[in-house]
Amino acid sequence: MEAFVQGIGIVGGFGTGMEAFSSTLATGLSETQVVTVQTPDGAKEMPAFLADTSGLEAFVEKKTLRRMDHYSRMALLGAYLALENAGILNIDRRRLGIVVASGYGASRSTCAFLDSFIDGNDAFSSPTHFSNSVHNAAAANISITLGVTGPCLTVSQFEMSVPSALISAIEWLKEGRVEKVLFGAVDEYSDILGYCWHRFHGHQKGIVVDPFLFHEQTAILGEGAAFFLLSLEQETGTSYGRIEDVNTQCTDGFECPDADQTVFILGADGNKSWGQQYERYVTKNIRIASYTPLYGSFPTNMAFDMAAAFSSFRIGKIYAPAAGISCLSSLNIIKEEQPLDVEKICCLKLASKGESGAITITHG
Amino acid sequence: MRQRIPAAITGVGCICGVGGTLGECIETLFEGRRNPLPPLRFTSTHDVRYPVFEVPEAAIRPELKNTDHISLTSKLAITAAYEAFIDAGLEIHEVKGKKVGVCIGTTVGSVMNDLPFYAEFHKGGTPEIGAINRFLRSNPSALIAREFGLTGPCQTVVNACSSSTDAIGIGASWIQSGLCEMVIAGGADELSLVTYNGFISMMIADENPCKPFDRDRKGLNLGEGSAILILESEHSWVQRHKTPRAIVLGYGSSSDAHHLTAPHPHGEGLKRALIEAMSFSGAKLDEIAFVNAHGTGTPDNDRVESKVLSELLPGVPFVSTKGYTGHTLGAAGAIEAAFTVACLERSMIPGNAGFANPDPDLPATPAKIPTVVKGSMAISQSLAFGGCNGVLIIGNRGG
Repeated sequence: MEAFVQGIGIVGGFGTGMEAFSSTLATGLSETQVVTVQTPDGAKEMPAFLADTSGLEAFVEKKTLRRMDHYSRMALLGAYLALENAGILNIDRRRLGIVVASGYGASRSTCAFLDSFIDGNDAFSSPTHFSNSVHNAAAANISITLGVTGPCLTVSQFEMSVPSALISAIEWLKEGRVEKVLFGAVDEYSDILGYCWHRFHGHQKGIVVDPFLFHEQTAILGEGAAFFLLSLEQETGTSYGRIEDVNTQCTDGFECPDADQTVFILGADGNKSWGQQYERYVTKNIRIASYTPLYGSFPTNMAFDMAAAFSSFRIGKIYAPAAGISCLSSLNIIKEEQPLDVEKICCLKLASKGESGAITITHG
Repeated sequence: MRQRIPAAITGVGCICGVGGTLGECIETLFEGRRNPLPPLRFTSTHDVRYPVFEVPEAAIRPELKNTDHISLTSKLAITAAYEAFIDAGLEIHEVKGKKVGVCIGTTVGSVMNDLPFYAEFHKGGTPEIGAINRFLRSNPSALIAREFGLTGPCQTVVNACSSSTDAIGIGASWIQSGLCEMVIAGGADELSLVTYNGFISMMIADENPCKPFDRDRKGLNLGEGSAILILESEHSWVQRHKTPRAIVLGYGSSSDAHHLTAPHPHGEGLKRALIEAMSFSGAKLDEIAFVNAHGTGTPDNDRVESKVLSELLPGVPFVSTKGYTGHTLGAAGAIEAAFTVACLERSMIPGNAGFANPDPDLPATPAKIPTVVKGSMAISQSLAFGGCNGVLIIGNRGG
């Protein structure tokens, strides 16, 4: 299973585009914003990494965006940036496929639709919010705006959405169903998710995600979109690298890839309910990094881990961890920026009930 | 482009408004019976009580009744999956711990929209989190993987109304590529006030039993259900000494790139998906016995489908079975694929429920009564919000 990455488009709490993302990885600093969450103890403020989609206006007229919600805008911006980054905004869109991974879909539009009738009159139900609330609205808006007539797929598998969807994206390339695939991940923050987050985890205590403290809840909510232009063949001079292998399953039985010649970027994002899963596999023999403190916790943040891996291959260095995190001596954590002396980076995401996803990336 | 997807269908399970098993469903279809009623599980404030096709609780597996730890969508999926396992002659211990994939399409089954929970939140309350835990436990493909102890890839496809056609096509490609020896593929969806209000708000729901392809069609009726297909590689079914019921020969998929909710007026996306599926399968026109059309009963959908079928598959009989099941959204493609397998085995299709008067604007009309068909292959096709088009070509066991 392999595919080359020709371009990456990314938007999140750190800003917009690969330049902003790489710069954030290099400095280890990313600022949060503040959201207000409804809680049993009244309204509370919490930090969150939120994405700004104003950059979309460089690609699309404002009127096109009029009825497009935040979820679709993030995805569309990610898609445009990936094409721009690959230097092929005018790609042949008949032989282009779209694959989108999302953990929770268009959460805000779903709530907006419920708001339209929940006070008692079903006849007030909003058709606009309903049509935007379907999970595949983001992929559809990309298809419509870019004029992509190839196949279009949206996958929702919670924390495993990214590796699961990536399997199908690469299969399409191998089958010859398409020449290229815009593969992306998108998840948005919403009030209802903020509320659920608070009910599950209590009030946010700190302002730094500490991914290697597997037993502590330090996660900060995030949102964003990361898109990758995939092809089966390497196109000279443009490729970020190669996706060598994708593995995912929903039950126990995951086998950690060979640790030799591999650095692992962990999807540990400060959620202690999943953090403890990493302890089963992460030993002193495994060199690990994590960059979730720079973009936060959301189901599809594994796509951001992938972008960090490709950025590392591009500069030939593995980034230092985010500022302020705990580098435990019991783990083999990469503590400072250093030359990338391995052939592979494996993005490893573990979640509840034994769910696992591993995406292995090489230079090309 | 590769030729032929050699994914055998060795077991089928189906539950929907016309029956609790595939056998019951097919019997009802060929008897021409249907019984849409106003929803029993929820109430609405609409002036009109739009009919739907609900699944009676009695049809759900006994151990899943009277529990609320998982969603109805997942209960339907597991019920159909057990039927498919029995049909395939599979014991759970034969697949437990093996790299068997799961690929399930859904819409409602993946949306966090529990109404009592959200209503309390909307009013400024702080609802208990039980409904969210149920949602998080109910991802249909993950749940099936856990139910049967499967360790292959797991994918929940959320392509609106083409979700499970796509899920079956994707599952078949996993077999072809060698990713899996066996895939549990299909779809599941439940009725809810949310989708009920959604389709009524778009003015594409019929106040009466729906009439796909009829001159007087006014829209769809919603339904619910699940169908699960066991897909296997030749190596797997030969080793098990199991004869396939049918073969997934081809899958085509395309986007309209036109509108969020309306199909392309000339069906350009559907044409591309059909041509792609035919190309993958190597099928010739005279090999196609029939088409199980999407046929929702909405004016736009049926016009586009009729036009495309008359252009690309002239003279091939077609039928919409949504007049019997209602539109089961993410489950529709799988339910219709299951019906396609059964109809191929009988060399016969049921009459198109609700079709009485030909529409002069439609260049092709469906089978009005049960009709004998000839050919070794059949097509099941789905169109969806977002402009997704999915087409499966299913061959009889001889391929």
